[in-house]
Amino acid sequence: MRTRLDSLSSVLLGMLLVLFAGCVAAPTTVAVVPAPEAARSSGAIIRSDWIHHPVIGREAMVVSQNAIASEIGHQILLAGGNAVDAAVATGFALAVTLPRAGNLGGSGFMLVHLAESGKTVALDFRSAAPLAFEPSLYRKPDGSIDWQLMTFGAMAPAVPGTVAGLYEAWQRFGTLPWAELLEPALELATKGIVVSDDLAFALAQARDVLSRYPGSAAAYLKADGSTYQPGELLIQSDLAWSLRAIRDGGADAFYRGKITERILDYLADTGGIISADDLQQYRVRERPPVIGRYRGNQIIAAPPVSGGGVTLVQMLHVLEHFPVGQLPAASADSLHLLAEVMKRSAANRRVGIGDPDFVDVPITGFTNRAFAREIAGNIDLAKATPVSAIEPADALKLESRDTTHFSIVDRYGNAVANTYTLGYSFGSGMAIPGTGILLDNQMRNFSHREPDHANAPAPGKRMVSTMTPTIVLDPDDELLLVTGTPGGSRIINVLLQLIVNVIDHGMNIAEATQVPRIYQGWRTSALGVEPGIGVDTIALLRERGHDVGVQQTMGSTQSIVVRDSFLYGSADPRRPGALAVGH
Amino acid sequence: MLLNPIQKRILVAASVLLWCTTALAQTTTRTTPAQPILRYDSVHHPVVGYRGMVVSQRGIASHVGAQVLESGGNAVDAAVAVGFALAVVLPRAGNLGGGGFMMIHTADGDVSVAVDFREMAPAAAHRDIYLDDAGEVDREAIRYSHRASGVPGTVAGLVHALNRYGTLPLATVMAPAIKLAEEGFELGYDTASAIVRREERLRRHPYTESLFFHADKTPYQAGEQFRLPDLALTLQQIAANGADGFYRGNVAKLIVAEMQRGDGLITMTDLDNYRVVERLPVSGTYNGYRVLSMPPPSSGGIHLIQILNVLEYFPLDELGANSAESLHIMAEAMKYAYADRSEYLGDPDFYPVPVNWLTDKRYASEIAAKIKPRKARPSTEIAPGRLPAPESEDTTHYSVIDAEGNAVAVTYTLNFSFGSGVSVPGAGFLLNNEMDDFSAKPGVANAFGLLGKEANAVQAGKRPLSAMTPTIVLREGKPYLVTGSPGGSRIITTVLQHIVNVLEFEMNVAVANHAPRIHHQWYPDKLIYESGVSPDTVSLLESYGHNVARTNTMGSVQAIIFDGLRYQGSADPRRPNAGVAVAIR
Repeated sequence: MRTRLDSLSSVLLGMLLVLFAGCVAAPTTVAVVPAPEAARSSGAIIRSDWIHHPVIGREAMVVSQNAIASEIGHQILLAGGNAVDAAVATGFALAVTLPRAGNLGGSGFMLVHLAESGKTVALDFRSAAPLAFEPSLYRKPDGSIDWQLMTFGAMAPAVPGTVAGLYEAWQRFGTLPWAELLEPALELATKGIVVSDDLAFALAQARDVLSRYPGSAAAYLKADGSTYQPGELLIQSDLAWSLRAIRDGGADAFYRGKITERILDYLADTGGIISADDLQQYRVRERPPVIGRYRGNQIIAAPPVSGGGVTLVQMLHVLEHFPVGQLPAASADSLHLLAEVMKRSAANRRVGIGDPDFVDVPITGFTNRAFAREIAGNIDLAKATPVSAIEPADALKLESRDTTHFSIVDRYGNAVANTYTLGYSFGSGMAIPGTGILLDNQMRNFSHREPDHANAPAPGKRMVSTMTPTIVLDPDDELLLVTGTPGGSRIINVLLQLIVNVIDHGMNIAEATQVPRIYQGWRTSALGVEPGIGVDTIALLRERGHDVGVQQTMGSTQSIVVRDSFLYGSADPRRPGALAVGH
Repeated sequence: MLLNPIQKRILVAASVLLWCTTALAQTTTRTTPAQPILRYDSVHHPVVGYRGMVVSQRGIASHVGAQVLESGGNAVDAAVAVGFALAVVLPRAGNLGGGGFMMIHTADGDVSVAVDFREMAPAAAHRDIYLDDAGEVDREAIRYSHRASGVPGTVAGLVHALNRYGTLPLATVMAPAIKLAEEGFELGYDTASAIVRREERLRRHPYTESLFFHADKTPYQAGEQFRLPDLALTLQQIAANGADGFYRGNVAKLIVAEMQRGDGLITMTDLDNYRVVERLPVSGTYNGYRVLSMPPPSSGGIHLIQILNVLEYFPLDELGANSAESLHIMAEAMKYAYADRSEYLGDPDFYPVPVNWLTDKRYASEIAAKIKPRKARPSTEIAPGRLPAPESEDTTHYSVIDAEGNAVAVTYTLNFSFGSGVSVPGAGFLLNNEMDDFSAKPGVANAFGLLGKEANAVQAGKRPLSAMTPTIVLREGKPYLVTGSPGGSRIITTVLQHIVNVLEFEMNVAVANHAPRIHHQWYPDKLIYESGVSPDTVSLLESYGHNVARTNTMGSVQAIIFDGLRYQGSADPRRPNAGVAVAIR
C-alpha cells in the first residue's frame, strides 16, 4: 500500500494509544489502517447477498439525476463523443428536463480526469458577485441585511458561470462539433418534455415564486397560472430560442450577444445590478484540484472556492486512523465515529475558505496529515463531544438540496464529475423573459455578517460553495470512483459516507448509495439520520450523548465505479427519475 | 369479467362465510393516510401511474403487460401476456413447463378466485418412487432427472384464466412473447450470470445446452441477442390451438418422447388429464384491511394470515420497523406458523387441511399469548423437531392492476432455477422438478413427522405442497395492494414483511420493498437476516436468545398499491432487471 503518511511521531502515537485505551470501543491501532481486502477484490459482478445492484457497462456510462439527460449523454458517447462531449450535452439537457437545478443561469464545478496523462483538471465556473456590488445595496433602511433581496428577484443573482464552464470544457477537451452537443437539449425544449410526477411536484411547490416573474410564469406555468400535471407536455420555446443562440454563437451568445441583451434589458427594468461588464469579464478558472490519500487511494476533489474538497479530504485523513472497515456499516460504533469526525471538520471549515483570487486559502493546512492526526486524537469513541466544546466556526450557508450532479466515464477512461446549481430550487425564481433562463440566488452565500471573513462579499468575487465533484483513483492510480451530490452543507458528509462505504466496507456502488446517511454539523448538536438507520442503533447513539433526530433524506449521489474493466453505475433513489445508463 | 351466475353465487356465499368467522375477532381499523407522491423523507420512491400498472421480474415482460392494458385488455389479459413473455425472457423461472397460482380479484368484487395450476404428480408416481434400494431419498432422481417433473400446469392455467376472465384472443396476448422468442432480445447480466452459475446442470442435457450456449459451447454473454426459435414454435401452437396446443398435439408428443428417452413418468394420458382448479382464496384481516391469498395446496396464504393474526396482538408500530423488539415478535410468530405448516399442509383434494382453524383469530391469540418479549423460545419447545423439505428460490411473481382497478397476482415456477435442467427437444422449454416439493419419504424418519408427511406424500394425481403466496389486499372492498414473491419457504415471510411494512409501518410500497428482511422457519432454529438490518439490532436479537446468521437476500417482491387514483409500483431491487411498467393510455 502506498501512503503519504510520512512518519508518525512515536510520542504522538503513544499519547493516542493511551487515549484510546480508555475507550469502550477503542480501535486496536491508531496507525493508518489499511482497507479490507474485500474492498479491492473483484468477485462476481452480481452477488446474491446484495439487495441493490449497480447498472453494469463495459465501455462508457452516464449517471445523472434525470433519465432523459442521462440517455442524451449516453447517445453522445455512443456517437463517438468523449466524456466532456457527453458532459456538455447532459449539462444542457438537464437545464431543460430538471429546471429546478439543471441550469444555464447558475454555476458549478467540473472535474475532468484525462486518461492519457492521468491528470485531473478542476474547472471553477462558480458565479461571481456583480462589479457594482456594495454591501449597502443589500441592507434594509434599518441597516440589517435584506435576505429577501438576496433570495428572490433581480438582486439575488450573481453573474452566471454555467454556459462559460460548459463551453470552456468543450473548447479544451471536446471532440464533437459544439452544435451537435446542443441539439438534443434544443429538441427537448422545442418539442416539449412529458411532465413527470417529480417535475409536476417541484413546479407546484415553486408556483407562488415562479408566478411573480413574467419570464418564469411564461416558462413554467400555463397561461391561466396553473401548474402542469403529470403526463402533460411542457414546451419551453423561450429556452429553445436561447439554446439555439448558444448552439450558433457559443458562450458569446450568452455573455456578449443576443441573450446578453435580453438579460441586461430586463435587469435594468427590474432593479438588478448585473452589467454588460460583468458578463463580458466573467472567466472560468482552472485550478489544481484538492488531492488527498485514503488507504492508498487518491482522492481528487473540487478546490476552493468550494469548501467541499478540503473538508472531505480532511475527514478522510482523520478516518484513516480508525479501523472503519471493522466497524459494521450503519452500526452505532461506525456512525458515532463518523459523526465525531464530521462535527470537527465542519467547525474547522470556518477558517479561511473564500475565493482564492481574493484571499489566501490555506488548502494544505486543511489537508495536513498532522492536523488530521491531532483531530483523530481528540475523538472519544465512547462518548459524543458536545458541539459547544468544539471551537465555533463559520458554517457555509445551507445550499438547497436542488443542486445536481452528474458523472460520466467514456471508453477511453476519461471521466467527468460535474456539480452545478441555481442555489435554491429554481434559483431566484426569476427567469429572464424571452430566454427561459432562470438566474441563481448565490448572493446569499457570501458571509455578509463578517466583513473580514475570507468569504465576505466583494465585487467580482466568487462565493464559497460546498459543491464537491470528486474522483478517486485506486492505489495503482487507475480510475476507481466518479461521484458527487447536491445537498448544501450535507454534500461533504454524504460523499464521505459514500467513499467509506466503497473503500472500507467493500460495498458495490449501488449498496454504497442506498445505505441510510447521517449528518452532523457543528452549529447545533443535532445528529440527523435518514429513515432506515436502525431504531436500536439510534438508541445506542443517544446513550453515547448524541442528539439524534430522523431527518429528510440527504443528497442525491450519481456515481460510477470502475473495476476490472467493468463500469458500475448507481443513480441515487432519493430523488425520483435519476438514471445510470451505459454500455 | 363474468362468472356464470351459479359459480358466482357459490363464491359469494363461501366468502361471506369466511368473512363472518374472521370478523368476530377483528381489531380496530387503521387506514393509511393518503401519501403525497414524492416525499423528501423517503429514500425510495415508487413508480407512479394513472391508467394501470404491471410489475414483474423482467422490465421487458412488464412492458408487454402494460401494452396489453393500453390496447384495451383487462388485468387478466395482461397477466396472461406477461406469463408467456416471462417464459421467454426469464427462462430460469418464467415457464411453460412448470406451474403456479393466479389470484384474481375484480374491482367490483364479482370475481375473487384463486386459479390453481400447480403441477400434478403423474399417474405412475407413488409414495416410495423416489426411495433407493437402501430406502433413502434419491435426491438426484427427484431433482435432476426426467422423473423430477410433475405434469406442467402453466399453459392450462394461463389459457383457462384468459378464457374465463380475459377479453382478448389468446393469439393477441401471446404475440409479444412469440416475437421475443423469435427475434430474440438482449440478454441481461442477470440471466447471463445465472447461466454460468447453473452451467454444470444445464450442460448435462445436450438440448438444454444448445438453448443457453453457443455452438462452440461458450455461454451466451450479457449484451448478446438471445433467441429461442423452438420455443417460438411451441408458443405459436398454443396461440393457434389453446391448451390443446400443449397438452394434446405435437408439443405433447415431444414431451412424452423425451420422457420415454429419459425414463420419465409423464404420459400422453397424464397430459390429457391435467386440470386447472379454481379455489376460494383464504381470507383474513389485518388492521382493518382484508387479505386474500392462496389456499392449499399452497401453505402461503394460510400462514401469511396466521402470522398477521398473531402480529395484530402486538404494537409493532410503536416498537419500530426493523427494531430488535419488533423483529423478535415476527420471528417468534414465524416459528409457530412453520411448525404448523409441517403438520397440516398438503393438497386439499387429498388431505383435509384445517384452513379455518389455522387462520382463526382465536387460535392466533393462543400463539400470541406464548410469545414473550425479548426472549426467544427454542424451536424444540414449540413442537417436535423435523426438517422441512428444502425449497427453491427461483420462482417468480408478478402483479397487475388495470384501469378499472381489477387486480391479478401470479406466482409460478419451475421449482429450482432452470427446473430439472431437462428440456423438451424441439419445443424449447425446460421442465420443472416440482416432485421435489413432495415429502419423498413419509412416515419413516420419525413417528412425530407422520401426520405432516402423509399430508404431502407422493401420490398419483396429487399436487405437491407449495409456499407460493400471491396476495391481494383489499381496502374498503377494493384491491389496494397486490404483492407476492419467489423464495421457496421464505416466500411467506417475505410477503408478510412487505405487507406489514405497508399496512403497519406505513411505508410507501418501494421503501417497504427495499427494507431488509428476516426469516425464521422453525427448523433449523436460526433467525436469518439480510445485510441492512442494523448490526446493533442483530446484537440485541442475539441477546434475546436468537441464533442469528446473515444470508443471501430473500425474495423478489413485485408489488402495486392502487389508492383509487394513483398506481404506485415497486420492483424488487434484489434481482436485477425487474421493472415496473405503466399503462399511459
